[in-house]
Amino acid sequence: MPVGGMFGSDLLEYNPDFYSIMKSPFNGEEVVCVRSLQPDWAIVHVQEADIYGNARILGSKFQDILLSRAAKKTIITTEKIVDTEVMRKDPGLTAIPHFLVAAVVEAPGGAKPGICFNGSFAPEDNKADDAGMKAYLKAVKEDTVQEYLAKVTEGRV
Amino acid sequence: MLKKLMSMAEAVDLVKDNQLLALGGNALHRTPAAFAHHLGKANRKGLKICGAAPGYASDVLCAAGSVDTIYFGFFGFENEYGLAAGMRKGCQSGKIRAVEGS
Amino acid sequence: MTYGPAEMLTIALAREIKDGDVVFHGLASPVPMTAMKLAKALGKNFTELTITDGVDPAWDKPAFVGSTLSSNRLDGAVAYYGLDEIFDLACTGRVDISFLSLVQIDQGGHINMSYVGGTNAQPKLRMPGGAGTATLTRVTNRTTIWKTKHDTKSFVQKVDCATTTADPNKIFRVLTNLCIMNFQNGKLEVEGIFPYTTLAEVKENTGWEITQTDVPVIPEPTAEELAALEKVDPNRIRYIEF
Repeated sequence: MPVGGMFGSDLLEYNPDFYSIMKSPFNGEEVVCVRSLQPDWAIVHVQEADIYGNARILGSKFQDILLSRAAKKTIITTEKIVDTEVMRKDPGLTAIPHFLVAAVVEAPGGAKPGICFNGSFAPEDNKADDAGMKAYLKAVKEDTVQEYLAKVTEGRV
Repeated sequence: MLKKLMSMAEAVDLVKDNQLLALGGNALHRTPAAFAHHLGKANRKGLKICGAAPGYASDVLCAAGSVDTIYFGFFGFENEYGLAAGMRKGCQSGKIRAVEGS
Repeated sequence: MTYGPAEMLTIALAREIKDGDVVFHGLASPVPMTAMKLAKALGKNFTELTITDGVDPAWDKPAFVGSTLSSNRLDGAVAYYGLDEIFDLACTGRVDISFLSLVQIDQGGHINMSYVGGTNAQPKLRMPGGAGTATLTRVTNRTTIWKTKHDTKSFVQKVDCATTTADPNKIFRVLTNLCIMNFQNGKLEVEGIFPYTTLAEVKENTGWEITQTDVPVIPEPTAEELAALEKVDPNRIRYIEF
């Protein structure tokens, strides 16, 4: 698909299987095109989802809506499971509808050590888990990643 | 509507070797960390990651040695936590191919 | 009131914004975020678009975290406008300023945010990437680069990789902790230096030969600008980049 800008970038030559410069069939203008990517899975952590996969996102959605439309199927992990009535009351707030979703996992704290907006703008609610981030970076540096993953999945970090 | 609720282990099992994944969130924000921790333990190979700004969860998969290609615009942890350690290590050793989008 | 490079650069960036502009800041952008709040505090009437989907968030709510992806950037917003929509807006010529940073830059207006040393396939130091720079530099009306550390590691003879190149038909400006540069006739020229430095210091910290011998001194921060800056950034988030 065609994209804007990109001329004057070395990135175009590094990846000829991803970028191609083509001439527009309408006016002959040069346009950079990229190979489209269809992910097998979009994996999105949300604040609220029901058991059917309808998912609501609080705060910034980033590109998660786009990801769920592009991927073959979406896996949702959610801070909490809510009743479908919550979605029916205001369907405009349902970011990802159930028919795009293959799995819903209840995972409170599922973004940690990252930040998951919970509706509060207070400082303590909007910071990463420092100890967790430091433990991760140390594990990568020291090549002890599997050990770190074992610990963190057992709640020991 | 079909019921989709399942355990983390069952959801992780859906992801197979060599698949292309798009993890949500941005840098350290609303990143699917728990899923990545469990998937990282499962030792998948040849995964490809795509996203405008892959973050912690994607980096975990890079650090776990599961990823061979990344498509991204920005892959880092912003000012406070710096460079994405797993991605950086993988690219610098030639194990991960970086296809930078913009 | 005393001031340092953090104040000078933030104020200089705020001065770049004009009434009616549509201005965007991305991630890892504490200094531009603060500059945009400052410009609003000083009464400039422009549209602020943030990477967190927020349109014109409340400028008078101080930041307390360095992350410019924080949902706090939605606090007080009048509307949501996603990043994909912002890129479409930029590609159709409707974004006036994109604030972008860099790892390396050379006099020909090439910016590197990709890697340093080695090759693309096996870099010595893999950097986070352009973050949209390769697209935005070519389509935004006024690309405004900010760099808090003007040194010969960043301002080089030739970049290791050109993530993007300045468009000679658009405005391309570079603001650092020492000076302001403008892209003219295919080259970056020093437009002015800040009051606390000298042209000699700028030359010493730039990896290409600056042939200019006399450049104007940029006006120092006014009392009003400094007071407004303290008001919008009491937690000194801007210092995270210095």
